[in-house]
Amino acid sequence: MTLTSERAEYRVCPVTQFKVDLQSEALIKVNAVAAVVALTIGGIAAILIALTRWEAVGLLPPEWFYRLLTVHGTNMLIFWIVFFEMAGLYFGATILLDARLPKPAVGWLAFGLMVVGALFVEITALTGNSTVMFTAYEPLGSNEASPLFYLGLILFAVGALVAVGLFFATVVMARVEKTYEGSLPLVTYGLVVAAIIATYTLLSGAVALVPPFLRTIGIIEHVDPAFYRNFFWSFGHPAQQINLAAMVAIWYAMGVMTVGGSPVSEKLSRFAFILYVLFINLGSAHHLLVDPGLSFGFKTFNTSYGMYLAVLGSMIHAFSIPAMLEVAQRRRGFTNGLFEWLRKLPWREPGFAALAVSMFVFGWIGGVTGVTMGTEQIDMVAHNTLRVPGHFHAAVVGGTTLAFMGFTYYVIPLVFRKRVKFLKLATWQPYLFGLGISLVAVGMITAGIQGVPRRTADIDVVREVPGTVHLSLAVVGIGALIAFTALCMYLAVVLASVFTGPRVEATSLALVQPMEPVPAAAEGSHVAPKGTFVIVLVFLAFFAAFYLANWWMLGRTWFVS
Amino acid sequence: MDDEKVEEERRIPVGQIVFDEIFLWLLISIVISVAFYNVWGLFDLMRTPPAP
Repeated sequence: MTLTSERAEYRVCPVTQFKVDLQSEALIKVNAVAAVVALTIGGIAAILIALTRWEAVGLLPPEWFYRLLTVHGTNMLIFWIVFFEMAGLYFGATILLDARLPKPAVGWLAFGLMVVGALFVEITALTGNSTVMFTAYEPLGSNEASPLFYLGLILFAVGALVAVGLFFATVVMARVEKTYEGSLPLVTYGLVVAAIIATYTLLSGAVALVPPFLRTIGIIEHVDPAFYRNFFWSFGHPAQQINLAAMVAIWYAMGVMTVGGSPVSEKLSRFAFILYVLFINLGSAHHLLVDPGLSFGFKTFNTSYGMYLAVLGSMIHAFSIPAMLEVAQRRRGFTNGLFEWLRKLPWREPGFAALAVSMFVFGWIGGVTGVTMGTEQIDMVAHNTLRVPGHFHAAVVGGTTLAFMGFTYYVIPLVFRKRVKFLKLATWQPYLFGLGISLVAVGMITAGIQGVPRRTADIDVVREVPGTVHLSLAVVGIGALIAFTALCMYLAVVLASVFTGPRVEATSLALVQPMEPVPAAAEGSHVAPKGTFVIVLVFLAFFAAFYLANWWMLGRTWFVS
Repeated sequence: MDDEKVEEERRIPVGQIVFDEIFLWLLISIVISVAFYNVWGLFDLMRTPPAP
């Protein structure tokens, strides 16, 4: 059904009954498509890089390795993620709030800037005119990166900033026009947090990248490397924290969509989001832990005292989301023992599978290794080794990318209004992707512990490494092959569903395994999430063991007499 | 009396009002990040003597 108001044209979603602004829907679609294109380019680069680092294969010559590492980093850490987040912001501000998009033309301008910016980066990187990797650390010679590379990143950041401004304007207008009552829905609240972090991130990006751009066109001669690193990392690291906030918002959404129920304490969940707002950007200092010139106080306050409060926020979500699922299941009657509720979850539902696997890989591998390496003393032996990409592949790829992939399966029927094809592939894809990326991460972490550096085409730069390093790098290669296969499965499902077949209206939220609704009589009854509490205790024990093991290993490295 | 009770129930808790102030959080977030990360870091760097 299509509705027309004075200012916007809507349709009503037959499943959710939300009003969908058609202009916003179009912007969601184009941003999602651009995101998937970037994911495809970054994914192809990923498998080629992994098969080069797998010493037994050694696929690419160094020149192409570094070129594709630039392509991989910019596509995966910026374009795929930010395009998808823009789609998420339009979804959260208009559809979830029953609101209209105030200025659709601004959204199209933002999208245009982002596409042009991304194209500049893709072309200069793929043609070998900007083989400077994602970080493009100064000092660089005047010919090492094309001005178009920096201009592309700046245009992309400005475009994304314009879209974030439009998101805030939409939220304000929804409040003024009273399209929702009370507080913002939790999912939109999480996206607001992502937008807040994005504002600081994108402004920092502009501050960091304008001086190198001016250097490449001859207006200034020199960019201070230490200043550049400060501003670059208040762009590069918080860019991944935008992901984090958006990913957690999507976790809540997918939990409600696939299992039902509601957050056990909205107050607590919102408080956890506020901890992100206040402290998570301070984690940027992780990247500067071995930089000279920065004081111990700066490093320790930012990476420990400040950052740990943001980690507390993540741990609150890590309890709240499974607890929400457990409470819903127990209210359905799955009350036997500690874990009947867990066994009876919809493990064949693609969105739930993506939620469960991404939470596991993000927390147990990405989170634990990140906090451990963020400790200044441990970082002395972890910095610039493969342990670092091991951590963020678990966090960003196993966590964010997989969560976004899972959410796509629901965007297809609800926004693109197409039937999801190859449902069996969609069911297995999150598990296979999670397995592959876990192997990549664990292989990288163990190789890094044995001294293998990051950002190198081979390990010849290290004079002596144990033979077991080759096993670790083989695990990375095998994991990458599995993850790439799962990426192809995802692309097959998405492309076949979106670009073939007639338009059909969705009839239910679930794709494979619908859950019985939580009985109305049980709503509001007090249920203790005991199973979740046990899982959280096991996680904390694992966290402590890993952290202490790293201190033990550090003690074996530096003997203090 | 009943009206007072209804009014009391309608009253939004202070915490919720504060949580809903998204632009306040935007401002605080930027101030904390700029002060503790950017400014402190740049201040440290500016105090570093140049290499001989």
